[in-house]
Amino acid sequence: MEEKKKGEFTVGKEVYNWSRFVRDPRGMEDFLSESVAVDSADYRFKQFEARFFPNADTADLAEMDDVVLGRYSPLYTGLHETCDDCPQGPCDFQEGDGKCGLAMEAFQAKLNLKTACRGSLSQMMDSREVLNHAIKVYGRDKEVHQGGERCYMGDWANCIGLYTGIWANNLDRLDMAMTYAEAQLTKLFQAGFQGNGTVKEFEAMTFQVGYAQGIAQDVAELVKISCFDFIAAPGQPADIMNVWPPVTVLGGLGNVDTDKPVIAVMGDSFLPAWSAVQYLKEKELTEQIEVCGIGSAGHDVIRFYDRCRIVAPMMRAAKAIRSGVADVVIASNACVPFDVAGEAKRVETRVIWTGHQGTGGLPDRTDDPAEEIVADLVEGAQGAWIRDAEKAGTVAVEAAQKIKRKGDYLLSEEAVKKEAARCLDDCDLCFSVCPNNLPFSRAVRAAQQEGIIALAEVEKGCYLCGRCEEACPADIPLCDLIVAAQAKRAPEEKFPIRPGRGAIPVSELLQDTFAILYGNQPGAYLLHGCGDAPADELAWIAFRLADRNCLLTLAGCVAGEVASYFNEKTGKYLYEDFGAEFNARNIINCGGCSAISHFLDNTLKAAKCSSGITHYANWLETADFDFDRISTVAIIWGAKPERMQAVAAAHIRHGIPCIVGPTSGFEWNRYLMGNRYDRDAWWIYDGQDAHIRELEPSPRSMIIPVETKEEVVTIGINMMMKLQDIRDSRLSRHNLYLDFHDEFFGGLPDDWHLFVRSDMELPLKKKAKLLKELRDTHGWETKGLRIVKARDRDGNLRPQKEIITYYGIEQGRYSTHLPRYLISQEIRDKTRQVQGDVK
Amino acid sequence: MSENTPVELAGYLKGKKNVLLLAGDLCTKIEFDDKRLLDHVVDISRSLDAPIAATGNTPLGFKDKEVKYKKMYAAEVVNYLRRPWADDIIKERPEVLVFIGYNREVTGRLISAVKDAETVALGERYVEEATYSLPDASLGQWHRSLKGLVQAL
Repeated sequence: MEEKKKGEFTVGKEVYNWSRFVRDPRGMEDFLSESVAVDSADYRFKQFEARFFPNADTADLAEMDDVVLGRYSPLYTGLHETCDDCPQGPCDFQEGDGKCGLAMEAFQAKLNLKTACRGSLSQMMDSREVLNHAIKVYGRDKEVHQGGERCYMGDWANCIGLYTGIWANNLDRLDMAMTYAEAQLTKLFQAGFQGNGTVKEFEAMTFQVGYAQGIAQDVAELVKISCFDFIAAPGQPADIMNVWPPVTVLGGLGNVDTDKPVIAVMGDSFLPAWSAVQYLKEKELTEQIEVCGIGSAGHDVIRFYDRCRIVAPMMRAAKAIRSGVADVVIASNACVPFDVAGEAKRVETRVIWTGHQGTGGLPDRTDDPAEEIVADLVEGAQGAWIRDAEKAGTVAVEAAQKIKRKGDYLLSEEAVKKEAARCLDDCDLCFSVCPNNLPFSRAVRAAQQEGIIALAEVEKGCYLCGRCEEACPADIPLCDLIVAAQAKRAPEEKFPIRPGRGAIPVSELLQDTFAILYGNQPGAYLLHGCGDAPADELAWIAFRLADRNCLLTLAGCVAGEVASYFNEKTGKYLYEDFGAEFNARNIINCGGCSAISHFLDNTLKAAKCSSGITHYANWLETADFDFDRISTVAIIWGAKPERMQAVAAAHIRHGIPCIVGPTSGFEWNRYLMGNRYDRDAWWIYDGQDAHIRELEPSPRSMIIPVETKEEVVTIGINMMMKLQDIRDSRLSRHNLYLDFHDEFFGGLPDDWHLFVRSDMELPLKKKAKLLKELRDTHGWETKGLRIVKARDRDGNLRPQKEIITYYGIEQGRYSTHLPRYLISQEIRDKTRQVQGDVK
Repeated sequence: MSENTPVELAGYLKGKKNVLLLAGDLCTKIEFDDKRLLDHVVDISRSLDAPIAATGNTPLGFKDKEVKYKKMYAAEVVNYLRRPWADDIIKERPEVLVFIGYNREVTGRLISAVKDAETVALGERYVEEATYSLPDASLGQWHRSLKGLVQAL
């Protein structure tokens, strides 16, 4: 056998050299030979100008970013006019460009980059901490896995693979991936302060932040599954996925037995909770002590300890802590800053802080003996900062058993009436400043007579941001009033949750192909929500979409938010009502916030599933494939944490549009908007003849804020319309779009006709009415139940069959956004020759 | 930019040709003693003969009210202003956008992105980003302001 030279690899029968496909392959050849070469099909190296980007920088991927930003132009709101980021400043953009040459709009893009960078930091830190801990305990050679054999090398941690080219199958390789992500974030943060690029350059860098965070999430998930016993679907038989994992976890304050000592875990880090649970098991205390979860850590804990109760998303942490439910809270850094020490002090909950830097002046007790810390906490010490996850877990369990609290922290009925009586007539400032527009002032005035019950509706929509209390000229403790109302409702707040299941293997994605292409699944949604939206809205969104055959995938705090939906007809809660397989009318919970990487995975894998495209070091081809094809929409309902801006950046970079809201969505300050009247922006190459084709204007935007949950579900289904929808999928999308629009807004939407390619795609029940509308309002020619001629966007009447080729690409025909992926001239010539021979 | 009385705003709006009202979802939620916020929008629309970009869940509220309205998305209306106007809610590019039914934060942010059009904020909070705005008010004062505006139109 002939020995290969350095940099050579074999795919099929051909020997290639990496230097032909990678700008500078030095140091990466072996990794690429193990990943790209094994996972790629031979023909892809011959068909077009293949190019791979291991350890990619933002600029390496600019070709596709230019396409995205060419169609979806950033819309900046809440403009900032002064830059003070460097010693040359401050520069006032009202007076012209900055001293560094930065223009006003580019400055807004730079600010947005900075926001995304900040948003990704807590995830980056948490992933690094989890990884370092695992390396310390298990060593660098410890193999990592996705939980079982159903995930193979080509179906593996897409964010890591795409951006580094490395098959990350042990802790050492995860460290390489994490180091790459950290180095990227450093560069991006530097640009966020000192960069003086263009709007497009900054926006592309924001996209890159999304994937630095995605890599960190991949790393955390692989470590959690491989080293900390998190349950994961790839280790389970595929045929039980509709009911796996079982709906065994309980949620809601009403499910917490406060007669027992209660430990709450809160923030991003599950490690101290993992230690506490190991200690509980070792001491056989699981029946004696309650564990409940707030934020991402809670959703991690239920993947290895199903006795943990989920009580609140991170944005409602203050509400949960102030309820006094916990004797001890183990807290860590999270997606939003939070005064855990201050809130806990009100209710004498002891805080064990495990974050990277101090909080609330709690003393660093890391090196003190556990017994001493416990004794001090029992004696009344407010809390301790313990930078050792194992010790923190032990201290929490021991202290929780011995701490005695007064248990009388809530305002009584009389106290609420008395406080409410101080409300000033004709003021309403609490209403004016409420981010969720809750009718606070009216509720408080009603509470003067009716007491706590008058606050019930307002309480449900409140996440205790405290703006009302700050604004109140009468200094009424409005947050305490809300917490009193919460306590009144708490006993009934009980619901079951399906814990997270980790990755979704390619084999399961393929299972959905029939439903999404040929069946009646209108689309797939990725659901996010951090808790600042009114509590029942996400649950409503989830139910309405799943009930209409959509597939929903969840991760993070949203998984608890949706669980409370109770279907009166079936007598079941949401997770009991719907299955958990990757298919129409199912709801999949992937896990805590790091499990968002599985969302990215399942959309990125579409290129692999459909066309055998490897993801390894292959961003451009993957994104080019996905961009106008994947009918998936992300909803971020409760979008306050900046982390979500980084999450959105990752979604949109390869064509998954994001709908954000409610009010917090309007606070993002930057959206990527399409304009359907700008027809030049909607195009694609016919990959076989290199002609540019106009497309239907969908998805209408890449990031758009909306006001109401009804707008979310309606515009969401509209955004599912994609270039290569085939008949049945387009029909189901039309049907749901028109149904939702009629139900919530009345009548037909003004753009529906733009997506009509054939009468065969019109819903049968509505067909006659829709054809009449096309004829009478839009001037189309119809006969019976058929379209004879459709009016194109230039106003010309064309035979129906021409329309589908006029506004898109025939189904099955290859298309691309990038000249490098046009089929090579040689192959085109050969194809023509074959076609000629056949004729 | 400036805090204005209802009468001043009415005078200004009457002098403009292409006025587009943006009615946000709060129009469906806020009820004064004898009127809904949405009814004020109807009155303003009729008085000015101005169409309504009905955002949020407001469209059903305008049904059968004999006003020109269309379901739109607030951010899209603002986005359309960045290019030559093409939407059929109003024939020519609007000279003035009137925001009502959005909270102060949302109004301010949407207005900050408006290009080449003047803006009026008719909420209960002063919006400094707007060309003209009603001042801070309680719900009762706001209701009186809106009545005054309609009377003066």
